[in-house]
Parts: sequence; structure tokens; C-alpha cells
Amino acid sequence: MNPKRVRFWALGAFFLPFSVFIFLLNSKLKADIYHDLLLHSVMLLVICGFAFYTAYFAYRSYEKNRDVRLFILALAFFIFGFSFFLHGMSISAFGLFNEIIFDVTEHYGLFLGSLILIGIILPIEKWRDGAYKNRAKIFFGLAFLLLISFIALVFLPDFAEGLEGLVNIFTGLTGILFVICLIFLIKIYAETGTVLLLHLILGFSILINTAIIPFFYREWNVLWWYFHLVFFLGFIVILLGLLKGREEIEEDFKRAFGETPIYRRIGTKLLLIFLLVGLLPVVLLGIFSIQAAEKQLEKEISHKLSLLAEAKEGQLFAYLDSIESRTVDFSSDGFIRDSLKEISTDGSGEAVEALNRYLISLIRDKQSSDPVLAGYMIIGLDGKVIAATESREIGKDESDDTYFKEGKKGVFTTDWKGHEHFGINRLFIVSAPLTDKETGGLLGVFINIIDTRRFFAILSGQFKPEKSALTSKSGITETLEVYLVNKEKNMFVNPFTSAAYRRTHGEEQSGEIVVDTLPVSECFEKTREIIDIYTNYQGEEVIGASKCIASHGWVLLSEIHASEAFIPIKEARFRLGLTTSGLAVLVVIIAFLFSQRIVRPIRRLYEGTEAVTRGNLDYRVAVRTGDEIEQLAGAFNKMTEDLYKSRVEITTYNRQLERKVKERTEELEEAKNKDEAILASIGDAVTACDKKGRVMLFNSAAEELTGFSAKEVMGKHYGKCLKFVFEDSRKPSDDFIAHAVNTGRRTKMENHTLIITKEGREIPVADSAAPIQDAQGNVIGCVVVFRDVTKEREIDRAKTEFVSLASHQLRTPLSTINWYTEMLLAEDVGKITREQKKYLEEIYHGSQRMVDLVNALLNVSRLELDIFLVEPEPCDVLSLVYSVMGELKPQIEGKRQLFTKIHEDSLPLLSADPKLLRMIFQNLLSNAVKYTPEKGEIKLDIRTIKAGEELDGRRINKYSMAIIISDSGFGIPVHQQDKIFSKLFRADNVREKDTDGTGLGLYIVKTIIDHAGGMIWFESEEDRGTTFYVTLPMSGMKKKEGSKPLG
Amino acid sequence: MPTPAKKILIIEDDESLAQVLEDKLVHEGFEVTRSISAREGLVLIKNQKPNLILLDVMLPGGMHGFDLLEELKRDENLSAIPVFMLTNLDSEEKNAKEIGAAEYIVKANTLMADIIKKIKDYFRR
Repeated sequence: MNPKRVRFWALGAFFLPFSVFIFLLNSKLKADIYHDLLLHSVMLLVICGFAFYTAYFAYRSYEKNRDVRLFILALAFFIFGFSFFLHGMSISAFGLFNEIIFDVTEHYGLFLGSLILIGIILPIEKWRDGAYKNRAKIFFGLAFLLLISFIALVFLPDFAEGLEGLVNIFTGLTGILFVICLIFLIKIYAETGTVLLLHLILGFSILINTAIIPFFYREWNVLWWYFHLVFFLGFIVILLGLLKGREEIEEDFKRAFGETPIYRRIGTKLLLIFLLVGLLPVVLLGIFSIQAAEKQLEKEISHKLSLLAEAKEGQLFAYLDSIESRTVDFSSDGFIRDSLKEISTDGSGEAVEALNRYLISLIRDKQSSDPVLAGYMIIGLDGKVIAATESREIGKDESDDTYFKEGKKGVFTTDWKGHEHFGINRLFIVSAPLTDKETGGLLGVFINIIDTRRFFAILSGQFKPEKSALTSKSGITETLEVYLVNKEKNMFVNPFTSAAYRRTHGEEQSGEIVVDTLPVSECFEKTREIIDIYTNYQGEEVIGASKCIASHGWVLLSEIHASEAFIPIKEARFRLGLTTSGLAVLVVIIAFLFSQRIVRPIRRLYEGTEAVTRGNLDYRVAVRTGDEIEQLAGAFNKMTEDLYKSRVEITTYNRQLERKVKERTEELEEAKNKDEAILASIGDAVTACDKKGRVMLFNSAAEELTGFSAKEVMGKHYGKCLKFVFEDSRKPSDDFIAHAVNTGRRTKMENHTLIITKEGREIPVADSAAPIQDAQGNVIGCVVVFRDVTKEREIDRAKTEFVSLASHQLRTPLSTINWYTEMLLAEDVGKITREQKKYLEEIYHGSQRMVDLVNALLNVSRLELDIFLVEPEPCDVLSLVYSVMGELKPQIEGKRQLFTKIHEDSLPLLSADPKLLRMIFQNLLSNAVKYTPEKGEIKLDIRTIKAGEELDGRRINKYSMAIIISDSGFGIPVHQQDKIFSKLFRADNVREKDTDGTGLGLYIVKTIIDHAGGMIWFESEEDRGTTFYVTLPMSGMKKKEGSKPLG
Repeated sequence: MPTPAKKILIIEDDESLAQVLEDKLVHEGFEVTRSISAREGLVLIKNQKPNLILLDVMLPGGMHGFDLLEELKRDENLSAIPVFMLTNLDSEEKNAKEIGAAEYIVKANTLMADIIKKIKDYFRR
């Protein structure tokens, strides 16, 4: 259905029942009070059944799809059903509960239900799971709460009455809640029309009537019946919606509530604000003013009652005074006195007769003007009635009665109950003494009997209730009472028996009415007069004022029922409820229209934004509200325009950019091609990989060398194409690439590395891996450069072999020179002169150096070809040192050097090749001797070092033997210290001093130590001396076979 | 009665070296025979039965010093004759000792006096 039409439907659904209501309100039918208990019960049961069925059906649907809103519907209708059940039960004709509960259950039930229904429009979908999980708890909690409330209504009448007092307000609130719900539902329907929603809307529209009608019905008239009919109708419409939309309920609700949180919209907020601002003050003001009026009214009525009581008291006293004085008058009546005297002296019956006649004539005379008078009596001194207006009374002994005893002393007034002779139940009795005129002696007592039945005329006589305060709308003061209560707390004068009381108890009072109320006890116990609200003798709440007439032990009370006194307040409340409801509707309508005024342009703006977002930059928003929203729309249009312009600019710029990019790309392409060409033409194989080892570059030399094509290895891990293995072990050795990537340092491949080609050939290679770093220094990859070194290897080998061979060949002639010189020097072939000997020694020395050099060269070539022999055996390091020292002894002694040894007492045996070990000591010690001047010092320190200990600041990883040789010699120049272990290197400062050195000794030593897994380093200062540190792991040297020994 | 002079056979292709060695040995009182090839040396050994042989390794004529040494060691009659290998190859000492050489002397690294000493020491044993 069209959303707009839904509004009309909703209006129709409201107005149709409403117009029927208006018709009924103005028709004669309204006046007909019709009530039938059976019909009422049946109707309530049907409504109740429908409500429960709706609840049940909503719950079943909820079980199926767990939409919390269905649960709320179920709960609301459960409340409706429950309340109407209780409502039906409390009909006063059943006698179970009173009328208050009857009222409260109905209207509060509707209110609670509608309050719960508000949940439908709240964002409760969030608690879908929680609500479902706790559905039983929620339901039973609610049921329990309802039950408790009902029990409270029964057992706390004050609570029930308080609630009843506010019924109108809550009825109005119910209507407001329905209206709010309805508006939201209509709004939601405008976006997602569903069957259930439609029915809810129609149902709620109908139900709004239920918040209006109760204000107008009185008792069981037609409107009351119509009220029930209306919400029955509402229920049916909602139930039909549930049944009709049964299949689509879930989708409907989702469509209706799921996507758009209505509670967040501006319209919603505005509505709430309007309600808050517009309605709250009215309601609060109304409540406050009603309360104030109530107070004022109470005060006024109390005041009036007090005045009334006072006036009546005055009248009472005046009347009593008049009666008393009249009674006293009788005591001075000459005839009575004389008659009494006569009777007392001779007791003649004649005198009595005459007195009686006199009294009767007297009363007849008086009664015509004062009908209250019941009769007269004269009692003699002996307490016997001498004369009376009622002849039956004569001769009775009343000597014990108080009025006789008191009457002898003076005037006495009392109320008296049951004087059968006068046939009157309630009496006033005034007694006065009769005395002798001359002697003043007491003759008897005169009794004046007054009928209280008629006495109230005195109290009511001049009384006319003030219209303003003490009359109801109809002008009849139904419940005003003014009455006297005596010491026995019996009411004995009641001129205004209330109409209500008369209705239930009849015109005439029968029996005694005991008035044991607050003012009575206050008066008797504390002699306090009060003006207050209290419960009177009928059990009704009344406003009353009391007057204590202490002289007679009476209490004068004037009371009016609070229910009647406060009729104006009730009416004011009713008017407030009506006004509030009307205002609420008005506010809601205004808020709705106002929010539409704001929301509609905003929605247009939103649509504009959507259009622009979709790319329609020609879209313009048309808003003509003349306010900030129009400004905003203008700004939006301007922005769209600018956006359009800038898009054009951007498009142009983009084209330029594209062209530029193309140009640059071409340039780059060219540069790249150039780079690639360069890389390709590099003779060395160049490959690069990223951080994860994927090959990014693979030049043609690499292709050639490995046999892989760049195409097949690109993007794959380098391990696929670069299979580096150790030459000897054939174990993979590509660690150096990972190492370069991980450490960011340039690394070299281990010596003697082979690459295995695609075809499985092994090619010796030399290479390096260098990390590629970005501008921030982060490693992003690795460049690996390697080349085929087969040829180099061959050349190297040839070269070394040449050296080896040459050195070897040199030995033979050197041997010849040596041995001949030796012959000559030994003078085996004849004496030689000293001079000749000196020359021969020079020759011999030179030749010897040559031999040393050749030996050293041979060693070097063997080390380089890695063909030297290592045959480890347990060595006694110390004895080796002694042996070397023995050889060096002549030199040490010749230079008068101081040699000291430090070592542990028992050094462990070291597994090492003795020849190599000896070579280490021989070289280091002879160097020390050679490069230390005369009288210098040489120190040798041998010890073991545990793993983890430090030597000269260096951490030693393995359990090792440390050899420390220090001298006070020439030292090594700082700038040459890094070359000291290089082949054929000799420091400048010693080259001059000693020409014998080969420059190979330290190179050989270092190579040996490296092979043994040890370390060698030194500290040196020129002209101060040098200290060499050597560590050799105690694990010993590794055996190496099939090679040549070093010599 | 003076002990008869010990007979020493030098098998060395370098004449000059052989000469100075012979001179020295004779000077020291040994009886010296020289040969420049292994084959000739073998004949001389068989004929003369020397007390000691100084044997070079690198020899002309296709037969090496080690070949000769092996030959000698195989021959029961000759295997007892001590052979001092006298060479400038310093890498074969182990090999030589295994075959049965009594000494292995690297010529360039050794004084003649040391060689004499070794011979004398050997005979003294």
C-alpha cells in the first residue's frame, strides 16, 4: 500500500470509532444505564481470550524467528489479557474485589501494555540473543510483577486508591504511547510496507480511542460498553495482522526495523524534544496546580465547616440557655409553688389534679410555639413524681436519677436516653429546683423534657450551606452532616443525616449510632477541637470540624464526605487528563510537521549526496526553506559544481600525467634496457633475489653458467637454480646468501665452492653476495655475483706447481753449493786462510737463506694448493718449545736477551701435527728474537683457557691452549699492522734492520692456525714491542691425508 | 786389527753432488762406489754388497730410487743393506720409511757433517 494512503487509513481507523463515540456521546442512548452481569463477563472473557491468543500466536512466531519485537507483542498482549481477566474478576457484583480495583486493573493494564509496546520501536534488536535466552525469565518476571501488583491492590487499599486517583493521567498516557508508536510505525511503513506493520498501524489507530472514551462514561452506560468494543476491535486487527503476515513475519520485521535505526533520526529526536518541552511542563503544572487547588479547597472547606460548627455551637448554647431560663421561670411559678406546698402539707389528690391540669395547659400553650417541648414533670423532695404532663409518669420514683439530684442544686441540663413514658428515645432533660418564696426552702424539682428528634431543627434552622464550597455540581449537598455526640459516644442529634446515609439506613434512625471517630476521642481525651480529614462513623473519608461542649460532655461535629468535597478537583483532573492528551496529540502533530520540514530537505540533500557519490555531478538539490538548510543546500550545490570543475581539471591533469608517465616509462624502459644490457653483457653471472629469496634478476652469464633460463627461475627461490656445494663434502653451501640478507653484510662464498648446473655438471665458482638496501638501509634483497673459476683454478694450480717444481729444482744446486762450501770450511780439502774462511761463510750463509726461502715457498705453495699433510698426534707442547728454544739459544745468547717462560705446571697434551706446531713456535719465537734488539726481553706464556673465558679482551669459544709471546722489540708500524699476515709482506722498520726474512713466516703460521680452528692476533707498538696471541682448540687439529708435508 | 773400511754406494745422478759427497766420505775413511742410475746401482749392489747405500730418488733411465729400494727390499740377500734416501723431495719421507729406508735425508736442508754423523751412528749400532 502507498505510504501516504496508509496515513489516511490510520486516520480512518481512528476517526471511524471516534465518530461513533461522538455520536453516542450526544445521543440519548448515553443516558441509558444498562448493565448485565452475564453479558459483561462474556464480553470480557472474549476480549481476554483474544488477547491471550494474540500473545500466544506472537510468541509462537517469536520462537520461530526470534525477532524480539514479536516477543514484545506477546508480552503486551499477555498483559492485556491478564488485566482484562482481573478486570472481569473484580466486577463488584461478584463481591470479590472492590470497584477501585475494577477500575485500576482495566486502565493500568492498558497503560502497561502500551508501555511495553513502545519497545517495538526501540533498538532492542541488539538484545536478540540475550532476550531469547532469558525469554522465560522475562515472561515469568513480568507475570510475577503483575501478580504482585494485583495483590498489592487488594491488600493496600491506599495504593489502589492512589492509583485510581491518577487513572485519568495514565489513561491519557496510554493514548500518548499509542500515538507515539503509531507515528513511528507509519514512518517505518513509509520505507518498508509490510502486512503486519499495516495491521499494527490500524490497530493502534483504533486503540487511541480507548484513551479518550473513558473520560466520558459514567457507570454502566453505553459508552462503557463501546469502550470495550473498541479495544476488542483493535486487538482483532493486530491479531489478523499476525495471522496474515505469518509467513513473512520475520522478513517483514527485518525489513521494517533491521536496517534503519529510527530512534536515531532527527525526526525522532525532535518529536521527543517536543514532547518533553511541550507536554512535561503542562503535566507537571497541572499536577501541581491541582495539588494546590486541593489544598486550598480543603482549607476552605475546613474553614467553612469550622465556622458552621462554631455557629451551631452558639445556637445550641443559645437554645439551651433559653430552655434553661424557661425552666427556671417555672420554679418561680406561684401556682406550682403553692400547689406543691399544699400537696406537701396535706397530700390532697385535688391539689395534684390541679397541678397536672396546670402543667398540661402550660405545655399546650408552649408547644404551639416550641414543638420541641415533650413534657413537664415535677418531682417531690422524696424523688416521687408529683405531677407530669403524661399521667403515667406520676408516682414514679426518680430519686436516683442525676437530673433529680442535680436539679435540687440548680439548673441542670443533660441528654437522656429512653424515657419510656414520653415514648421518645432521645431526650434533653433540663431540671431546676422549686423553692418556697418566703422561706427559700426546697419544695421539689421541675423537669423540662425536650425531644431531640425535633431538636435538630435548632441546629439546622438557620443553616444554609454555602454554595461555593459545600455544594456539588448539582447544587445538593449530599453528604454534609452536623451532629452531637454524647459522653457515651452516641450520636444523639443529627439534623443533617446525609442523603447517602439515608439511602442505606432509611429516613429514621433506628438504634444507637456509635461515633467513635478521631475528633470524638480527641475531644474526650484531650479536649482538643480539630479540623481535619478523617474517617467518620460510616467509614467514609470526611473533612470535618469538631467543637467540644465540655459543660455537657458533648462533641459537636460538622462533616462532609471528602469524595463530595473534592468533586471540583476530580473534575479538574479530568480536564487536565483531557487537555494533556489533546495537547500531546497536538504536540506530536506539530513535531511531526516540523520534523518533516527539517527532515525532508535534509533527505533531499542526502539524495543529492547519493547522486553525487554515484558520480552524477550535474545533480542539483532544490531546497527552498530559506533557512540554514537552504544555505547548506546552496553550499552543497556549489560544492558539486566545484567538484565538477575540479573533476574536469583532474581529468585534464590526468591526461597530462598519463602522457608524462608514458614518456617517463619509455625513458625508464630505455634506461632499464640499457641496465639490462649492461647486466647481460657482464661476464660474471649476476643474480638478485628479494628478501624472501625469490629471484628477481638472472643475467645471461648466469643462464650460461647454471644452464637455467631466466624465464624459468624468475620469481622462484634461488635455491632452485643456485646450487652451491662445498667442493670436498658436496654439502650445500648457499648460506652466504641468507647470511647477506639476514645480516645486511657483504659475504663471500666459502673457498672451493662448486655450482651444480642444470645438467648436473659441477663448476668451481668464486663469488660474493651483497645485500640490496633501500634508502632507509633496510635489506630488501641480495645480489649474488659469481663466476666460473675453472680456468683460474688451472692457472693457479699451474703457477703453484711451477713454484713447487722450481723450488724443488733449486734445491739441488743449492745443496751443491752448500756441501762444497761445507767441505772447504771444514778444511777437508786443505787449510784455508781466515780471510778465505770469512768469504766462504758468507757464501754458505747466502746459500742457507736461499734454502730457507725455497722451503718457505714450497710450504706456501702447499698451503695454497691445500695439499699439505696434517698428522695429529698427542704433543707435549713444552718439550716442543724447549727444542725450538735450543735451536734459538745461540742467537738469544748472542744478543744477550732475557728470555722468560710462564706456564702451568702440567700442561695437557695437545693433539696436533708436531711439525706444524713446531712451525708456529719456530716462526713466532725466531721473529721475536730476530726483531728484538740486544738485551731485550722475550716472554713466553702458555696456558689453557676454558670455553667462555676471555683472552686479551677476546672471548674464547672453545677450551683452548693459549700461547702468548711478547717481546720488547721494534714493533710493527700501525699503518702496516693489517698486512702483517699477508704473503711476502715485511714491515718497513725491520726490512732495514734484517734482510734475512722471507715475509712468508707469519702467513704460514696464520694458515696453519686457521686450519687448526685457532686464532692469532697481536698487539704492537713501534719501538715498544709486540705481543702475539695464539689459541689452539684442545680438540686438536684435524687429520688431513694424501698430501705433502710442510717442511 | 782395524776394522775393514765400510763400503758405501752412492747412487746419484748429479755428478757434482756425488763428487763432493764421495770426497767427504772418503775423507771420513769410507770406501765409496758411485753410480748415476738405478739399474747400474742394482748391479753394483749385487756385485759388491755395500754396507750402506745413499740413494737419490729422481734418477734417469726410467727407474726411480723408490723402485730400486723396493727391489732391494724384495731381495732376501739385499734387503738387509741399509738404504739412506738422499733427495730434495721432502714429501716422500713417510713413503720411504714404509718401504724400508733407514734414513730420509733432504739434501738442501742437511749438512754433510750431519749425513756423516747419521752414517756413523748407524754403523755404531
